Amino acid sequence: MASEPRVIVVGGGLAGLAAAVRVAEAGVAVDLFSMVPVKRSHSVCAQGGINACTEPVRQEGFSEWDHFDETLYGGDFLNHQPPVYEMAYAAPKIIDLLDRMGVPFNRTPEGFLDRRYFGGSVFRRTHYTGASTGQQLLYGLDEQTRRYEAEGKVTKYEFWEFLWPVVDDDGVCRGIVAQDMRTMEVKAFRADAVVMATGGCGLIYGKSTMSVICTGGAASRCYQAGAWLGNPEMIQVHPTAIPGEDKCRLMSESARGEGGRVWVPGIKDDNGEWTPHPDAGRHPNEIPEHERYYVLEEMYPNYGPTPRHGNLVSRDVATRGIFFAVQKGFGVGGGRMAYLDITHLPQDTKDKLAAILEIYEKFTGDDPRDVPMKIFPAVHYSMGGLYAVYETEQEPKPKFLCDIVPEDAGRRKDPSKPAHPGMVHGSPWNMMTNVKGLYAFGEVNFSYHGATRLGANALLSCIFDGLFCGLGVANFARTQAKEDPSEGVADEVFSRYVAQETAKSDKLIATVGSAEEGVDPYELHRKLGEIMTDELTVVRTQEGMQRALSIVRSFIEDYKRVKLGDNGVWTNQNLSFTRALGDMLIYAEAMLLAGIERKESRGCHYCSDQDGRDDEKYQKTGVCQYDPATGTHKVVWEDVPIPLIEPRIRDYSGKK
Amino acid sequence: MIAANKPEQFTVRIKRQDGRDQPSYWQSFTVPYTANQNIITVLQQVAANPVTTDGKRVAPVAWDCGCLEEVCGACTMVINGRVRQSCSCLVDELFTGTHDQVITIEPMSKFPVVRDLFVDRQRMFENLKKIKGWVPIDSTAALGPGPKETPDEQHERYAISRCMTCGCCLEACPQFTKDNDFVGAQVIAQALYFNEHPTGAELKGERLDVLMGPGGVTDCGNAQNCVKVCPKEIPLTEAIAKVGRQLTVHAVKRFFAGKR
Amino acid sequence: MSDHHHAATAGTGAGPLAKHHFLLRRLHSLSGILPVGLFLCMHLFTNAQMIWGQDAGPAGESHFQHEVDFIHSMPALLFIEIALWGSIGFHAALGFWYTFTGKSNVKSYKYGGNWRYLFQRITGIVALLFIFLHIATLRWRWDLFGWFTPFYAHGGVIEGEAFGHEVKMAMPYTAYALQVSWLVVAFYVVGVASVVYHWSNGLWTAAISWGITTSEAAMKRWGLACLGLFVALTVFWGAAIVGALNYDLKEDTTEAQRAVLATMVSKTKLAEELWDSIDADRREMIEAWIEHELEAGHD
Repeated sequence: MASEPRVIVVGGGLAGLAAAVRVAEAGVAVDLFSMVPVKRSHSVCAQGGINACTEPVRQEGFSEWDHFDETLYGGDFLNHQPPVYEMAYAAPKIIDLLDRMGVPFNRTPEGFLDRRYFGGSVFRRTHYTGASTGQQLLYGLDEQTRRYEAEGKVTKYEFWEFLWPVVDDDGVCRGIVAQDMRTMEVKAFRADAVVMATGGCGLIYGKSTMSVICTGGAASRCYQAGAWLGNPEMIQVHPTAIPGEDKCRLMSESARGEGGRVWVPGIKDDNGEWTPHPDAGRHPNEIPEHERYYVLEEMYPNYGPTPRHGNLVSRDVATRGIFFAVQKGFGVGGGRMAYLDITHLPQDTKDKLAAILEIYEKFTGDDPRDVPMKIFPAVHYSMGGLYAVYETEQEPKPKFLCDIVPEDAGRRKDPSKPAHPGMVHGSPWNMMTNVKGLYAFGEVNFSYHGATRLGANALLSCIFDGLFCGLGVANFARTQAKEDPSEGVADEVFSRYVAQETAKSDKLIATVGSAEEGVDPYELHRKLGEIMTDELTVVRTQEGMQRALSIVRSFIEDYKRVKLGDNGVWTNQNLSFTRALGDMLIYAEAMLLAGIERKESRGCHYCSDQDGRDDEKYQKTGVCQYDPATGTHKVVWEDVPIPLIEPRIRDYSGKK
Repeated sequence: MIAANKPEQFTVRIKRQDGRDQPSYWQSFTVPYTANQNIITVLQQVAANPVTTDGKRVAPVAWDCGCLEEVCGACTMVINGRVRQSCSCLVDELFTGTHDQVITIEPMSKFPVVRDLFVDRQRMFENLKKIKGWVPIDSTAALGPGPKETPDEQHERYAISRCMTCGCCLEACPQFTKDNDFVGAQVIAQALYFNEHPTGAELKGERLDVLMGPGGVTDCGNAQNCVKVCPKEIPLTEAIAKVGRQLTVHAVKRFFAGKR
Repeated sequence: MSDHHHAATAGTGAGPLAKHHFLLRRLHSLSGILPVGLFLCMHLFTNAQMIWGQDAGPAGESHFQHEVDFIHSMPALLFIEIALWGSIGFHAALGFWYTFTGKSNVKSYKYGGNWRYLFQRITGIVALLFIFLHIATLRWRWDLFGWFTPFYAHGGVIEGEAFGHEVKMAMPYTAYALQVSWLVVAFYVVGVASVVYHWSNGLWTAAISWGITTSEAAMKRWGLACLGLFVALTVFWGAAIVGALNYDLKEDTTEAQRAVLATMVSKTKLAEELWDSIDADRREMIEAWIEHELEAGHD
């Protein structure tokens, strides 16, 4: 029984929209699910830019290979090389496409695309629109999606929350269960392929730079339903954010890319050693130049063409620089803050940064054009996420723990040409999780960024996933619709999951007004955020992570007594949040376990009790597998194939 | 920026509604004052302890928010009578004088309430569809770079492309009401955004045809509240005037050379 | 999500009003600016001549009278009148309808532009009422409450044996009407101010609607020009009112003018005083003549 193919895309950020556009363009109907109107997805918060080796960068001596290499280098070689290779080479084409879509990239006086410096590269290879690049790119894709929506090829389900993937008895994903967050209706939807493009999990840390929807709940639900996680412990802490009560607001790396400098008050002795200044609480504009300790420039004086490029080292490195300086007592006013200073920049440069400067001004009341900004590192991005595979022409083929890539993959190889080092375009296996028919795109996909993501690579990887791997999804759905359509699956398979989810919410709602003293979900979330921020961010130790693990496990027990305060039948956010909290706890447990088992320091996973990187043991993906029956996790180590670039030691102190 | 007379606690009056098409009612909550508090924090404090000033435990308030840094456009509310983003609305700003001030928070009045402060702004997105708010590219295939653009042109379009569909301009617009069909500043500016792009201009005629119709640009009453309340300071009135000019030219051309 | 349908989106609706929406809107704008607006300018300029008062002498000539005569000398005046009435009627009908498509919110948004928006609508309605009564009393000679005397007199009003010459009544009639009651003055101040505001603000907004002023700076500049126009027109009608109020009906008039006034208007106190100021022996003759005129069906 054949049927019209249908694809479900969960998430309306850059990855989800790019996927929806690509799949619809290939002629396959798309149902697009998003918790929020897609235009409000978290991609909107990305600020700095998008990396690509376009022609002018090439003429400055850069190459796609360099982009590929520095992405691996930044990621401490935990990235999967074929996808990163493909992404780096697709990047200039993606820029062209976005340009054609009307994204208002900043221009040179002659009218060509302008570029700026960014972290992890000494080349000006970051294309940008002011300091709100993510917003502009998201809107560009949102517009294309709307076009397909108007043509009836994409159907949007906004304000619908993904609850569970529908996986049949053969382990094939057949659709999803979702809930309308207005009417609270729970419903199953059929599809021949499901793309998860649900972003990161910053809310596990309580306060992060992420939007309130980035709970990681969707990824956790897939994980509990049998999909695996890759390197969930890899969480990026961004060096510069404004700490706040409700969230930490990002201050883009573009501030440093455009020449902004990070400093703290200090005193330099005759040996050139810095010590904290006793009067560190003075107004920054009163602190003379010689009492300004430019932490990153002094630590990495030889990175890049000028010493100021020290501010542009890879994010985890910069974060540790600031973190340690503050730990040593250099913090502004003795507190947990450093200065990010753009006051010396020319007016037109400040204008390019207007979007973020306005944010700073609105939320702190200080004008960063005149007064240095007070910043501190904050949780920002999940490099880890759902485990996914891909197809290459390479020999030997990447060996995966799961056998989702069939034996005859790589068949498209042109024998007259050398093997293509990247992914096979259009392969249905590209970025499929270990669950057949379930894909992971964008931030929720673990493949691209290894142990640290370079600035301005996130937008690229998200769009690349959608556009490049989207074709594979369409191909897969078409084959499925012909051979084994979702339409042919018994209703019972779907109603089973609807019943499961309805029971789950009914159980939570039933706690409203109960006589027992329950656990407050908001309080539990706050405590989860605290312990995770303490033990799984900038500096990690076995002891700390173990402590956090036992606490998180006690939270999982506490969660069983969680009590809601709202039994409203419209937009019950209390229910939605509490349900996600349960999933966050399980995800947090996996993150800690993977962190504990990775007994090395690599990228953002900096363990003060380990001696550096251990390629022998951990040049591997930590694959987390969950057993729902027992509620236990297992970490299995899988080699990261190194078909193209041998790992080398990462060092930003000398010229690369 | 600490208010001169910061209270230890203050009262928030919230306009509530249990669901679509249900009656609205007011409830007051007492909230402790904290430094750098914004309205989101206030609502979080209410959510953490949803007990009214008369000591009644009630359901937590539902509201819409996303990025909390004024780029996603989700958390628009009417605060002390004025529409704005609740994330960037600092409590200190609201307390300009006396101790016992009350903060009132209402849902936007121009869109259907789903629950409490949570409204459905689908109309804005539907209107974007009506004006064909996109650049009609051939496909996503690699077909080379887009059209060249001067920095000035980029500057003009960038200003409009920062529109986050928050709806402030529509809430403050006296011509935009729940039961008329005016599209408002948001869509008019977006139409200009696409009309000014060389490829986007492909659909300029169709966009202008829509904007000539009922609910189009001519329904603007030039009160110009839109530009005053826009959190992103988008030159909305200039956009309205520019589309007005395009319409004038379009109409004249159509009158003398139009085929239908 | 496709399951939500909102009636309220652009480009919907059918019928001729919807089909010609743009045309109607632009004609609405045009009808306000051109015929009505230009006439307004001319009208107020004419009225402003009252500030120069009236030459002494039996003929009672004035600059104002001269302008009035000029207008009445125009050929096909009726057609001009009909065109004006048509324009006003069209502008008013659509304007009235448009007014109620919006809902003012100055209480929450106290911006200058928002107040101007509200005033534009209020003054539109006031102006409509004013123009109607203005025409009704002057053109159609409705007599409202006695004090609302018709004070427009066409050309040379009375040509008869009684005086042997034309009596120029434009100035005395107008002055009388404004002096007879402060309510008339108030009515005219409010009415004309509304008309003038409505037109000059309309000019400002039209420049945006038509896409003539497309930058904030241009809107500001044009706003100043419109303000200038508003001030100039206000000076004009102000001069007219001052001129009319300063006109001494007993001293500045000829006997013939006083006689016509006293007999043609309602029996007010002022009318009686004027009547009394005429020689007693001539009153009889004048009364007889008027009776004769009325019997002849003379208007």
